[in-house]
Amino acid sequence: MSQIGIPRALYYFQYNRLWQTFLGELGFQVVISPETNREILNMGLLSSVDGFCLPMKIYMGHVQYLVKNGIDRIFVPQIISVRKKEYICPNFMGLPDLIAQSVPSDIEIISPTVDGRKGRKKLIGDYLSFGRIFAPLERVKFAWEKAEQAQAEYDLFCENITSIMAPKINLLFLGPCYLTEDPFLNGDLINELDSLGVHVITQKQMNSEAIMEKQSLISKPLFWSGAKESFDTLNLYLDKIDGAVIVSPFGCGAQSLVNVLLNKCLQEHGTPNLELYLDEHSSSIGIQTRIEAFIDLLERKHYHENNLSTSG
Amino acid sequence: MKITFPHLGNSYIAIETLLRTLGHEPITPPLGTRKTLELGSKISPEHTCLPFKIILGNMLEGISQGADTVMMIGGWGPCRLGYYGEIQRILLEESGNDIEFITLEVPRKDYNKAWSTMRKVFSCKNLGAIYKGCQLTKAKMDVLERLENLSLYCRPREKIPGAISSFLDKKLQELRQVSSIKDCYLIYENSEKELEDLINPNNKRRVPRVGFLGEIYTVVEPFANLNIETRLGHLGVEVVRTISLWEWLQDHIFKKIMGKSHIEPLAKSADGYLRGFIGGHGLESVAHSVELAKSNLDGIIHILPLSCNPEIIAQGILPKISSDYEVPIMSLVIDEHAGETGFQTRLEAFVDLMERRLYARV
Repeated sequence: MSQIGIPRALYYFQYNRLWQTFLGELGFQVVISPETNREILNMGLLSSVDGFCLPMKIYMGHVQYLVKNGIDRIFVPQIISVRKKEYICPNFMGLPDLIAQSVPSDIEIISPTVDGRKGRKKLIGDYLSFGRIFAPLERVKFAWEKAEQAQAEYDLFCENITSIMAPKINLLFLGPCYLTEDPFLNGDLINELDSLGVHVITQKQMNSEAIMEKQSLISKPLFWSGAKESFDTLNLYLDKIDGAVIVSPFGCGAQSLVNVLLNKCLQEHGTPNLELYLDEHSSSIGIQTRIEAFIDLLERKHYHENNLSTSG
Repeated sequence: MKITFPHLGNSYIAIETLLRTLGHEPITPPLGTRKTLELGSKISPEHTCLPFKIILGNMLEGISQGADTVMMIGGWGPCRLGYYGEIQRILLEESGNDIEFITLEVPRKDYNKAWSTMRKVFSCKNLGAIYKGCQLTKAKMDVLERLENLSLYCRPREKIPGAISSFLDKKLQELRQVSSIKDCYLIYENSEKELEDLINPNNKRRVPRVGFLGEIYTVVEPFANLNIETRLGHLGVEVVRTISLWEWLQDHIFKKIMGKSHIEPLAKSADGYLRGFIGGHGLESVAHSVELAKSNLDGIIHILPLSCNPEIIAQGILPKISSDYEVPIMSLVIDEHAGETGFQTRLEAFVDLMERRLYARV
């Protein structure tokens, strides 16, 4: 059976069930790069332009790691859009072409173009026609159904995680999934918060049906899927949370604008928030210190609000 | 309405005409200066790019000159320019400016609001006059770009240093005043003749030619690119432009409305390097680089604001083109901390490199 490598970075965190099952059913032996570590980061830095954001540098690192470990076929999809009339980041649209230049020419880059701007049908069509390269249509359709099912099960599981725990401090952790779910990049923030006794809600717990009933918080609809998810999650939980932490990669175009809107919403609602910008120079200790200070603040507000002097 | 608008190179000459045609009073903000940038940066989020901050500065200066309306373009991604207007509206409101903000874009969902905006924009109801005014706007746009291109050719060949720049400024101010299409083209014809006297006829040395491309705002707006075209001209280099505002308008507005795509020919040029549209001017940068590299230019300068996503991809791909076609390519990243001296040094070094390669070959 032929091997295919998937880098554990960027949209892996959102679509790993889908990709893994789909490629597996098509007859590949799927190899996933290990969790990000210092070595992968360094390899990424060496093969990147300095203008890339941290998650892209990490992605380059994971690709290099797979190449170094003898994988000669790598799955780097060109994801243009995952929902109707929305885009993901422009950087990821050019990613496969960049990767193709940073690896030796005998490495095969498997790169379907996934463009759901015209709707879900087109998106599925893109996956199916990609699968047709490797298998007959019947088998591709079967593989897709299984993959979609695996992904749906996972999404449902995430949505049903207990969202609010009343006596505890509830904290909303916003940001792209490839930052919130990679413990190496965010200084293992989720576990850190857990040990401080804080209940964390992430973007994964966004219930897409519940959001339909809510009125939008902004006047112009956002056209970046990730940013829109951040906003919808905030919209769902705004009344129930004690505070919010927003993580962004340094130099992220979309995030620089969306954070303005997120901050405005949170401030108008009187919810404390902490903005963290991450790049390859951020240390996990620095992040932890800031988080601890922030949690101190939330605790005072949560437990002793009435005893605090208004003059600070 | 008294409308102010952000600067984009010399396009204010045409925009003024257009706004008058539509029955408004244009309030042109002063050309970008350090102060503009400081004003803009003060209320901008830290991580937005340089164009965002300069544009916001332009708006603030326009408002302080008495404008009651701000006009800006919008869009629907993936480049963040599409969301600039919305954020700038919020920032201007938060900083206590009571203005109306008009974003020109294809509407989505809120059609009633779009319709009332359109009615406000077209406050002149005389269709004949609007048609005429649009023709004049188009002529001014065309002539001003032709004048700029002429000056790009003449500047490295000028007799007295600095003569071409002041000549261009004079002609642009003339163009700003005229009110008929005939006069516009007359200015161009006269300039062609007058420029002959300003060129040094004894200069037989081949002038190095450099292609200039990148993110459109930093390419077109001289304040954002620290006057790079003039600087290169004075270093004895002819700049070849690949971006024309008029073409950009045609590609992004008229062709889109007609349902045509300007992307296919570009994707064909960029074949093997980039497979298609990546937002902003990323594809253009790669495609034009390949075209320029094939056309025997001496070098290519690629300019982008810090953290401009589509151009970062182009920046990552250009080194490959550079080594494939053996043409020097320099990427310049600009933000509000760009220092003039450091910038000049890099340009001089690059020009040195081009000249050595050029004269060694001859």
